[in-house]
Amino acid sequence: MSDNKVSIDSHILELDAVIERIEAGEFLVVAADESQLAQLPSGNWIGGSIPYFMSESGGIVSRDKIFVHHIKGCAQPRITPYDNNSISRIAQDAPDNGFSIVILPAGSDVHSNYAQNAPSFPNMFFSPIIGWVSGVHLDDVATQTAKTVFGPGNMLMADKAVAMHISLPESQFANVHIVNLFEQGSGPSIRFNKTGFNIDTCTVDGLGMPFSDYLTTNNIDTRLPLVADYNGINVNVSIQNIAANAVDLYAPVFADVNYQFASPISDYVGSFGNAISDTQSAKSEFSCNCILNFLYSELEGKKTGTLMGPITFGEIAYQLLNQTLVYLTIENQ
Amino acid sequence: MDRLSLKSVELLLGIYAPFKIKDINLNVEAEILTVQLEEVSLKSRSLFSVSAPKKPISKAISWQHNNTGRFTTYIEIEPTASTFSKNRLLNPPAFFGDKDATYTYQLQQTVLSAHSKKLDSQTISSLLNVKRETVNQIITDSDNQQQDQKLRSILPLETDPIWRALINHEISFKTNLSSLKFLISRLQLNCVNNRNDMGVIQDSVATLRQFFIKHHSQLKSEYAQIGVSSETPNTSSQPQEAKKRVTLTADHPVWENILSGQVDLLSKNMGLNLYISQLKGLYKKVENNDEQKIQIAKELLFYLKKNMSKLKPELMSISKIVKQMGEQQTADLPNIQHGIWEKILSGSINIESNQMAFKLLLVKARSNEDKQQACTQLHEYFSRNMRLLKTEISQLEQHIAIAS
Repeated sequence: MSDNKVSIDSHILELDAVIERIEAGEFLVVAADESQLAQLPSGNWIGGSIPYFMSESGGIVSRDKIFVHHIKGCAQPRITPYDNNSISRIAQDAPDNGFSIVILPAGSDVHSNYAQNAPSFPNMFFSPIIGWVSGVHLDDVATQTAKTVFGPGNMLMADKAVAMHISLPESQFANVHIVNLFEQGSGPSIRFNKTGFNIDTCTVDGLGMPFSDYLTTNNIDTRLPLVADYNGINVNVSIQNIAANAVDLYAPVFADVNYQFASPISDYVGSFGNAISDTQSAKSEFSCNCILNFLYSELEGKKTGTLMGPITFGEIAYQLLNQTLVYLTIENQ
Repeated sequence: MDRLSLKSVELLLGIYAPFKIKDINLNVEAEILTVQLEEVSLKSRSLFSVSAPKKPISKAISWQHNNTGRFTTYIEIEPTASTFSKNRLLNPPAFFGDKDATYTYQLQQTVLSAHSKKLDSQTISSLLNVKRETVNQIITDSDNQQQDQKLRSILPLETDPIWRALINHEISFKTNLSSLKFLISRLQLNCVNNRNDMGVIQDSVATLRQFFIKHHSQLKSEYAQIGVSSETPNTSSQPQEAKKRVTLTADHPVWENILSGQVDLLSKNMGLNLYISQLKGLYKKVENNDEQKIQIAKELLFYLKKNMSKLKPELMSISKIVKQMGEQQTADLPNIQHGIWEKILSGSINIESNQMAFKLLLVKARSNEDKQQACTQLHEYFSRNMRLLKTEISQLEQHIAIAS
């Protein structure tokens, strides 16, 4: 492969400019409303539907703009669609030295499968995998479905993930980072006896009870996620809906893992600024943030440092995350 | 005593799924133990299913393994289509060997580990009760190996308890790499949920070890924490240079590594931890001011000197880190025997430099009648001052590239 250094540029563009770039053969990861994605020609790109972005001027909602990550300096990446059966192969398909960007359509079987089983996929954690979950405008949740696009075939799909596997020269390596402002609070330890998005019962400090009962009787602020400590990494699971007998989640909880509800964050933007000043985010090449952070922290028009990218229905840093910002750095050896 | 079951022998030899022992042959007269393995399909996991052996595709391969007591042990397998699959070779078990090799990875790693500690082949042969030719073969093969294969030989073996201790958080271990944190977390959960399944535990250990091999360039601090230098060992028979005593000054890059958080001393000394934490904050604030950074490093140096008697483990850690950094730096220079040093001395290669010390040293070295000694002086000067001599070193590299 070539000795060029690989890097990624981020842009918010109009439709014509993106078409021009695709026709020039550029390698792109595209985020836009489905109406825009459907007008793009076939080429070296993958995409996902979402109309929310972190731009240079702050959080924006747009059905016309297109967010583009342009991967430069690399050899021809491998672009692959994955269905529910083949998604477990994703880490095995990753290059020996490089990284993979994946987009999953929200609410699909492949999303659910990845969310629940990615940590056990063969070769997982051996090569950097980053990405996001595509979605729809929140006004259209009841009428539209999230999509992904396999650019080479110009296929708009609601049931398949897409990935771009990018090789790096020997002199570079990629690293995945996360910025999660939430930490385990001081509440009781909550465990679940099964892995899943839909939960009926739990144990609270060892005492079994319906999870929905626990949430309602204790007046839990469900804008705060459940947080698990994965060897020093805080992983969130956000509450979607509380029904009489069950609770729907945006990401699955895992059996036999200890969770606690997060401590509240009074000033997301301020805390976020402090958190990223402590990280290598200035070197970020690719990033995305969660729609729940956008909503609960009212990020529209507010800047989140220099990080740009789509605001998504879920973030992927190897495994599926919630209410978390993820970013990728490409470093020189 | 009851007879040992095949399952127990599998545990003794560290054999795990999808492999199992098919047969064992003990030749008491020749003192040879031959263990025949078969690969079984794990697809069917229902309660009453029987794991079916896979169909062999070629004749049996035999690898010499670490001895079992005084018995020379061989492991035999009739390869199936998946025995040497890409996925398997990413993370081969220790009781396996290369397709064309005559020994297992475990025997290979045991020999190379001993060799890296400067034991000669005769001593290794006597200690392991393995023929000297086999030991020599393993060492020779290793010289031709790729870097990741060499790394396998310096990392603790799959059987070493350190891997389980890491997975079970039984030892203090810190990493900044999110993938490693996730991996350890997942492996820990696997092991907790399959406490009695040795196969899962062995597989977790093998996976973690493989991760260390694949990401060696990003895991310097992690390698140091398990007591291994992340640089590949020199397995050739060239004599090692005598150890040099290094006096640390405040401008040594080790302080940058500590104060910027790239390296963690893993100190249990609360005072030092609090002090370093405070200095780290100051260090970050003066990011663009080298003079102030050196001043902060001086303060840390002073603290360490003042509390020397209380901070022996921390000083040992710093010494190890400095040694690793030194090895890393000298690894980039041409060795003493390289012809380039003589060419610099003779003037047939001119190295442009603004370093007064280099110019003076060159004059001195050229007047030395002992050319070997003069080359050594020059090499030593470059080794010690690599940070100052980036331009000069790049000129060396250019000359070497042109000559080749």
